Amino acid sequence: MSKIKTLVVSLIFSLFFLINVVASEMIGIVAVGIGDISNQKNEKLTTGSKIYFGDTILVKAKSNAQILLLDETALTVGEKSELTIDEFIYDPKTKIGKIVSNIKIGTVRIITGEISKKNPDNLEVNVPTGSVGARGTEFVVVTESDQKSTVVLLGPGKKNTLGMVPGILNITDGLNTVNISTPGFQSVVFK
Amino acid sequence: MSLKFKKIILLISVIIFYIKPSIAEVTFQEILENPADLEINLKYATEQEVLGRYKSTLSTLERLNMLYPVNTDIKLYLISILLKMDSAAKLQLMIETMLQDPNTSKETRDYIQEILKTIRDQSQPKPKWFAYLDVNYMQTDNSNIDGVSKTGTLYARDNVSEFPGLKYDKTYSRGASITVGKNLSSSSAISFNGALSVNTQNKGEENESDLASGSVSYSKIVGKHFLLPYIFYSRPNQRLSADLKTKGVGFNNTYNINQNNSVSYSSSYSKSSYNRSAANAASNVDDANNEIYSANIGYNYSFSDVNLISSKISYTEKNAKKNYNAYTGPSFNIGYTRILPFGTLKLDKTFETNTYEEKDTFVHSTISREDDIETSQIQLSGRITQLIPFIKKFDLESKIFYNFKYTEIDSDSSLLQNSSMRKNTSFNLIKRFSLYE
Repeated sequence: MSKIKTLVVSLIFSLFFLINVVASEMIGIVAVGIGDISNQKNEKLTTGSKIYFGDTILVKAKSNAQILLLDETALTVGEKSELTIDEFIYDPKTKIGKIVSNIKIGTVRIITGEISKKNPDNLEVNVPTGSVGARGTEFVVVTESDQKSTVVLLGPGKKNTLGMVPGILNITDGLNTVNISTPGFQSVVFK
Repeated sequence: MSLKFKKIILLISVIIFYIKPSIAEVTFQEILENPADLEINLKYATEQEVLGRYKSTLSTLERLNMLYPVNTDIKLYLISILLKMDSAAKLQLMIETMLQDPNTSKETRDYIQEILKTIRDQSQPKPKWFAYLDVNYMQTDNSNIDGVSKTGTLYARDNVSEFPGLKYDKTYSRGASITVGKNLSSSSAISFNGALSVNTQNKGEENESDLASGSVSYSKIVGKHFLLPYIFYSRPNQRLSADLKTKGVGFNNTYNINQNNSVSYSSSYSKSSYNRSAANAASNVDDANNEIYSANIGYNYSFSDVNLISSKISYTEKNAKKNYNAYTGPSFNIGYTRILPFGTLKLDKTFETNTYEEKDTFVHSTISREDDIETSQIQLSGRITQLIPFIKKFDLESKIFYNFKYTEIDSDSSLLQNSSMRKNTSFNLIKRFSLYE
């Protein structure tokens, strides 16, 4: 029995250590921090501050920020917004990984990076009323409350002269799914 | 290869050598370490644009725009990227914000108005039909118009004889062509072209002709593909030699990998037949009747908005009624294009080897014909108002085009008469009249 106890304690200790290692992994930076921005520990974030796995970013009134993740996904966060990076796995060599982000409130504009380019399904943005999947694009999510979120596709458009693949958004409320492929078009997700 | 062209090739090599190391000097790691540094980030944005990674350019410019909100150059750069990305909603928002900003200068406001006009023009449906007339004059100085051999001799039934012929002469071409087309959709069009020209020579008459030609082409954009199939017909009426008619079909397609890289590929087939008449019945002119198949693939790389390097490999097969007129041959072409304020400069070099199928025993019973041809070309073309701005007073719509061309064809052949050097300098003026648009 004592051997089992030792094994269980060791396992718990190892798991605790592993969680700490993962939690201390840097996944990006605050590339722009204007105004009052903080994390879940109430630490003030400024331009150049590091973002760690599981961090919640709070952008207060009259403030805004750009979060740059290691796969070059850029999240521009407007005032009175709160978001969490719940999952971030990225291998810079293969450019394969996964991002799960949770936008609790506010406005966040997202320019997708390498992870989404390699595998569009591996970028997931959750809002209180549903979730958004994105393929090679730029889009904005406005979460007004836990009852209503609006998602707008920004680009690139079909007539782009850069040879870019036009963006597509896949929005679901858990029951119904809507695709947006025309820039400027939006979908409102209610609870 | 002439010394002049060796220098040009050397110059292109030096440009490439200098440009290559300058690409991707700033790494993403440096951006993570210096996200607010204007110089590093701006350099990163332009480098990423050159590499075709526009989303990186966009996010970097947005960051700089947030950090340096009064910097108009960043805003205009950002607008140019949004325009290219066809991000209409965001562009509109950006422009409105700039127009509402009291710090926006008059010059910038004028520039924005220009952009808005461009957007409005682009959103308006194109007219379905269009038609224009081109009137053309060209003068060419030929250093060796009859292709007199380098040694001044030729083979005739295995014997060496003197090559008779004219060397220096001028030719003049006056012509007109009419193009009528229809835009079938926003990404496809069809056009019909008919042309007539009269070609005269100053001293001799050997190269004088009237030429009638016509073509039908269809253009279509499918995703990243630009497709251009066509058919054509031409009928030169030669003053001294037999008339011929040529008809053909082909396509000339381009695949745009991204803004900087593209692959072009084309193929064509043509059939030429000479007219036998009572006047030339004895000379068996139809022995030269032929069919030509040709295919090529090329790669184009533009390393900035004004510089393009291109290369192309081709293969040609010519079948003729008499096999001594038939050949097969590969060719390789390399070119450099630079857009200058006064026109577009093109430098081109083509290496070609043609191996003939059969000996022409009338010429030589033991020597098979094989030609190595090097063609070098320097060309400057554009609108005449780019060269002489004063002309804008008369050419309000800038529809007079010019073209200067210097061509050097150095041919080395196993047969004496086919080894020759020709240098041609031509000047061409085209006036375009819009008939319907």
